[in-house]
Amino acid sequence: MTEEKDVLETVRELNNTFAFLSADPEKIAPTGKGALDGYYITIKDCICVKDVETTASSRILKGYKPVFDATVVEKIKAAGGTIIGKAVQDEFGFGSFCTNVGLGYAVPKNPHDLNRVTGGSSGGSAVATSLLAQKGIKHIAIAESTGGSIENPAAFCGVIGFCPTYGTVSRYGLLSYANSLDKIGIMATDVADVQKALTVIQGEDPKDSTSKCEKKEIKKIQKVAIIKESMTGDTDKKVLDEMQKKVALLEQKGIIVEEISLPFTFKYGIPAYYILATAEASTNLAALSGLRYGQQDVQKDEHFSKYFTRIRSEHFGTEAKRRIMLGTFTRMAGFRDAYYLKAAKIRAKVIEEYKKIFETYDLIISPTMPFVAPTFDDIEKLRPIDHYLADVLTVGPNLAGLPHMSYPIVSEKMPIGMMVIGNHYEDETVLSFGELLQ
Amino acid sequence: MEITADLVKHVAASARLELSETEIEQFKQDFQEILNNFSVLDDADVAQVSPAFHPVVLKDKTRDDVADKTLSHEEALQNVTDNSNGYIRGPKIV
Repeated sequence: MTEEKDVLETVRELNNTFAFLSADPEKIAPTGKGALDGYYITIKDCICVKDVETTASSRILKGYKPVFDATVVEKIKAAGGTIIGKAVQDEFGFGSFCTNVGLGYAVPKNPHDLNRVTGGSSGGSAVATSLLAQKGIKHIAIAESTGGSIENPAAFCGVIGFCPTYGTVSRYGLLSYANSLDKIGIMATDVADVQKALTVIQGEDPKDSTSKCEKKEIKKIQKVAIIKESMTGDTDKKVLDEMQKKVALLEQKGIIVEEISLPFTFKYGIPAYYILATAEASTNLAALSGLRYGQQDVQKDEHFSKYFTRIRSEHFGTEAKRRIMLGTFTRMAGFRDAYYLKAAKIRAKVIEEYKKIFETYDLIISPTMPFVAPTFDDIEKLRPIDHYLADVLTVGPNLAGLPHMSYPIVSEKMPIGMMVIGNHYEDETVLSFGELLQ
Repeated sequence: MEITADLVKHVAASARLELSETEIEQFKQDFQEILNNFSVLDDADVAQVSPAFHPVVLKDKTRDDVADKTLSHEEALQNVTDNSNGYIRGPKIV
């Protein structure tokens, strides 16, 4: 048996227990040689891989095989990376726990405790990163974050999750959730691997008019701000204790750590994020109507409106319907100014609030999530609004498009992550902070 | 604001979704809770703020106005299960 067959067999066996892939693993050979020679890569299911089923873990796209590669996939193949599968996710990214996978998909399980969730929406990517590292397989996951979808599962599964500055990595070939918020990023267990993958995938792309790459020099980190609102009684005591231990370690290393406040972001961030994200999602998903790809029915005797409505109603999951409707509502005549436009203005103020902090501090830190990965039973008891409120610590940097990383400060049972946030285009400085945390 | 079953049905129809009675009741309750929570936005004084439709400042980028490579006819139809003589067969429009 070849080494590659061994890897695929290992992945298949792990997937039988942890359900982190959206379909069986398969090997997609690289097209060139480079920085990713010898690395196995999983791709979040919302990113197009030519001739490989790509569904964003939604039944409405079942059977869709793109006829082109996303720009990131093209770059990974050219740099020697071997793709081994599509990682399962919340349907179109609509979730914080990866329990909102589409109809017919299995919910992935946390590698540290099968009774707990993985976090979302890039849950499959985080599980693959944790498990394959444990098996000694050189693996990098290409994931995506809209409001916390990389850093949240990275924290719950004990791996590094890095989300670059908005626009640094091309979105061409990404099935969009919310164009103004979506960022393709990386998960790995070693900062050096994140760095390597970022070097490969970043850069402006003529196929994505929002791509923009303005790299800044690495800063010497001297002063770090810790977010006051993240260190209150709303955060679990164990998370607070571990954060405080790391702060003490940073101080021993000569870093000044001071408390700052982001009152505007913490008060208005979640509603502003959900309004913008669902408004954009509702227009993006209007394209899915059962005609050109994915679910289609040869029975088309009814009027087109009925046909589109039938296909969409049968194949979208509950959370997808909820977010499409919420977004449709906030864009409707009479409500647009009160919701959508106001949310866009709030985003401007949120960016301003972060920028003010960066005038004095090199980086901002907080826990990534206010609690460890919940059990599936815990999640059953939550209302939709409770799911949205769980994103309290991650929506800020995502709304502002700032580079950020979840770094595991507890990797064993149950993992806890610290989130490190940098100013726009200071991605390298954010990554360099990983060394200080070791 | 109060979310009614009629409003839920109206929004669903605009989004081309058909809901069961159970779904209508569930979404009515969900939207009420969500929008009650979002009503905190009423406190935000942003009247004089310019909206940020993107998180970073972007400039329009255009390419030269010349024909570029695009999908072939065959590629464009590769995922269509119901095609007829190179066309996509759609539902009735009248």
